[in-house]
Amino acid sequence: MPKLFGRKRPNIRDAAAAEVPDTRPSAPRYRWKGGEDEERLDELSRIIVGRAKELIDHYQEQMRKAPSRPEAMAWFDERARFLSSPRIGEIEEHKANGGKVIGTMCVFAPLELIRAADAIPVRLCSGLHNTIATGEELMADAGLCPMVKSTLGVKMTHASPFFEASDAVIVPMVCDGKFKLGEVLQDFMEVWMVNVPHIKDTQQARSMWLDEVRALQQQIETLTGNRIYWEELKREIQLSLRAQTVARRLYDLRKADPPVINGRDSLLVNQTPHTEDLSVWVEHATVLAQELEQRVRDGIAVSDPEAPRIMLAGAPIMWPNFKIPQLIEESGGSIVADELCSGTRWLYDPIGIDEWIWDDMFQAMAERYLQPSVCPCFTPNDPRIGRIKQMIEDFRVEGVVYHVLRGCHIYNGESTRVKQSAEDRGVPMLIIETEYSQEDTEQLRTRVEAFLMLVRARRKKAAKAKRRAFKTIDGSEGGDGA
Amino acid sequence: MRGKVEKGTGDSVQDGRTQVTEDGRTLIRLSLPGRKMPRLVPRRALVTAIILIVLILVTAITHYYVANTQQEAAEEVGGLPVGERTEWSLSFCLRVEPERVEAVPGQNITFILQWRAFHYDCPYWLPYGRSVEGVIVNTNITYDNVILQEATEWEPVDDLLDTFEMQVTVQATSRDGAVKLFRDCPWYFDQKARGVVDVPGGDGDGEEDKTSLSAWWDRIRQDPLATLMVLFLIVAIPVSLAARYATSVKQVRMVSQLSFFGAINIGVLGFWAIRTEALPLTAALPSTACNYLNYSVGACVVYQMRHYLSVGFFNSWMFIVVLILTFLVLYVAMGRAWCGWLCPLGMIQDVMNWVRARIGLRRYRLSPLQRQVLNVGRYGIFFAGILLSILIGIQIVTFYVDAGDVYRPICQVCPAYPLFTIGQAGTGLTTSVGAQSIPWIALGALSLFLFSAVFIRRAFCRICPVAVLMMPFNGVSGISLHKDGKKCTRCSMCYRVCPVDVTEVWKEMEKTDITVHNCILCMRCVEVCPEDGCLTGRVMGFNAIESSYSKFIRQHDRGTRRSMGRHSSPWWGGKGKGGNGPPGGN
Repeated sequence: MPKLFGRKRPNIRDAAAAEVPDTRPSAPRYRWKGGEDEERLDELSRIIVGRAKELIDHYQEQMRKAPSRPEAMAWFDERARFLSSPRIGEIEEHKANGGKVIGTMCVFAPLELIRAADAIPVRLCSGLHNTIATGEELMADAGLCPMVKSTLGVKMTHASPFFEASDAVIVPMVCDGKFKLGEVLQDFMEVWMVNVPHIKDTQQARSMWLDEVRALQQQIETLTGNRIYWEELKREIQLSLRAQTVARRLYDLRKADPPVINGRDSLLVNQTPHTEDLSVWVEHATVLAQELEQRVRDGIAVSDPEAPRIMLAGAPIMWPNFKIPQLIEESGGSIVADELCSGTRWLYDPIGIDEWIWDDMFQAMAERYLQPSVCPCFTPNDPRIGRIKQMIEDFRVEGVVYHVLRGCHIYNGESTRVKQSAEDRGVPMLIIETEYSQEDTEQLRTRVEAFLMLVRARRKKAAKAKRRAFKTIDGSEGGDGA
Repeated sequence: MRGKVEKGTGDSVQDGRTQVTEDGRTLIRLSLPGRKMPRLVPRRALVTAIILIVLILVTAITHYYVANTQQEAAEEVGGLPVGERTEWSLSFCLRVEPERVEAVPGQNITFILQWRAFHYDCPYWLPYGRSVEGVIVNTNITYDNVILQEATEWEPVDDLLDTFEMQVTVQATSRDGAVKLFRDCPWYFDQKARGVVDVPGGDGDGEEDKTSLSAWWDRIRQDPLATLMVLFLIVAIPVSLAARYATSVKQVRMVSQLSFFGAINIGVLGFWAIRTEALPLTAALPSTACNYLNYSVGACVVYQMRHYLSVGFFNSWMFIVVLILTFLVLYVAMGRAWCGWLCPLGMIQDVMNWVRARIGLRRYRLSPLQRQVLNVGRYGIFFAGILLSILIGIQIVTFYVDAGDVYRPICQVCPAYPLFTIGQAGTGLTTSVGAQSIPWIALGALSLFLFSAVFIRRAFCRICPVAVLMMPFNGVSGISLHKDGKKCTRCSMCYRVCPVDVTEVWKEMEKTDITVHNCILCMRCVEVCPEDGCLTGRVMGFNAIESSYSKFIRQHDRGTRRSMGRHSSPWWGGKGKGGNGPPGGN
């Protein structure tokens, strides 16, 4: 595209037309006594960080123990220790130079806009289990999703350096938890709430979402002081496309039988870009993809080839809350696919540009976050069912483990439908409803092991039926005699 | 559908259709359950076929009536008796390439002249297309002496060409006998007549001519099959090359449109083809070259429909064949792929759209209501035009000769007519000879067309009356669009790139065949779909184009291809090499 008019940004009017909601309270809405005692807060924060580090070390040790782990995972391991990761230093340096950091939640924040304005996006959905108690002091709903409470607790206790570095946080209003979380968080920091239409196919939903993203663009530009121009947006869209291409390459590599990468490792790889610089992540993910491709050629497997192929679906599993994948893979299962918004869905859908002009780029970028999303906050959510069915076929899945966070009603509401459609395909499904805490680990282990035995038994039965059918057709032997 | 009625008098009860319920009532099944018969021909195609057949029949009957009244009218006015051999003098203005003629001024040269006279103004007295053919009995040529006659408006514009003025005496018999020549009506000799002039000699024996390239092409154009083959090659070679080397379907489509436009609509081959005696065959090609363009091969279907409804094809049975051939080739085989891949008007709109995108202007997307209104307007224009044509044909609507524009019910609002003939002497803007000049309403349509094409993708295609005939066959024809709903993520990319805003490709999850009426089968959605095997473009049942992530990513910038890995395969399939290493040698 030639530069006809210099730095192009022909739709200033559009961006200005969107109205930015005024949500910031003049005075705090909530009283929280714990926040006033700074010493106690520091102590609490230290304890939480210390336990979280222990947990992270524990999971990383378990993951390293797995046989023939890819060498390229070393970088991801280093970065995944996110409470003491080198990324924190980079972000501090960026902030010292006057740069901004913008927190995001869920998969609906337009990361390209944030990066184009020279800010760093970090995803703040938390997987720390011991901040929940603090979060419950302000959101005392026992039936509320632990992720929301954990995220709030992280902010209250200043446990996460990424949260502390964020100048603002984008909270899409997808479910009840996020809805109120944004409201409570407004006492602590600048929060940009985004309306997400729950019916996304209609013309009015599309235009509404575009206006919402335009308002976000306005907010980002105001915060960072940088105008977003055509060149920056194009650069960032191309970076995203590169990342999405690598992510899809890794996604396709997981179809290998026997698997060449563990489910936990893959989840970790997919979660690293939540906080990382995407261009750096692309390089390392490419190295990993090459290593895995070499493994496919060489026939190196990370698990027993006979291990049941399990798909992980349902509510997000945020690092370091790796209880469920750890359980499955410890019990002898092999997670070959996941349908989590913290997993493959984060980078799966690419941005398709039709014309490299501002309007189309902007619309493509905005719609990429809304339209292909199969978050159960949308209705009707048939594409999610179809997607799971297709993944069962593509990855030759033998059993589905559906993870539900207690209080996550939208994921729980779809669990029966997913179960039925999986069973239509002859694949059993186990619904695990759990929280972040480790108390129910042993109980869950029993259930998971039983489920894996069931999967193995089904496989044996299917193989037997196949043999029998073959013999019958062959005509040499009738029935299962001899 | 199973309806149930309570038993009445009981006299109409038949075996196998009755059923006794628990409470003692007897129910009659109105229709027998059972396997549904597969419908071989879809209903909409059948309806269109019936409409076409009825129109042709109506036209034939109409013209039978018209021809009789014409003959009576001709005799009333006192013209020549039907079928009589007529003799009259005409002035031709001929251009001959100087190097091919070494004639001395004043010397008589014998020309072999084939010509056809067309009459534009009086479509019902003397139908255009019913050519009067004659034999030259005497020529008188004065070299280097230009005399412009009243009727010879085509002035030589090229200095390299010399001009002859020629007096020709022609004896002719009107072919169908129903034609009466009126001295009062202005006659225009078609410019196509000029090209057939063959000058024997130069050096006397004509050997030089036979060995030259043009002579070789002259021989080709004498053979209709050879013409067709050359025509095919001129389109097929660039398209197949593009299919191999282009990075996107969009580019292949552009090459296809351009080569078709160049070869047939304005190209030199169209010029040859019209001069052959193989006119009916080449005219059977599904060319929508506007008939008012001098060297057009054929005419668009709407033109043929409305014209022959007005003037009848009583004796020109060949044009019925042409219509049916066009019908078969264009509709049954291609469906609306014609619109997406070959139509010259569509190409011009695509070019305008491309220019708009290059400048960086935003596109205007029509709302669903606007699209619906335009779609209804499409049918309105088509059927109003057909009705008016029939009314003209059976002489309910008659006009003076000066109001000749009205005799072209659809063409006068069609932007193609002024667009293709705008620079053309005789019918363009440059002259104003009766009805041959462009009507103002057509100029308005042209302006609207060009303006809207910039901001709205395929704006005219939403109202184009030609598509009324094509639309029912879309999906029945050989080219179709298929979708595997299981693989769809509903990312709506297909909707965003669609030039005619088809929503079904995006929203349909159950049906596999998603070729809808409005789809012009440009396959852009297949190309941008990032899911492997979700959308498929099929030609005659074979998968021609299948969506894949590699196709998707190849359309984006080079920078994005670096991390492609296995996705770096060439476009038409085939496995590529692995990805390049990361920068920095990590």
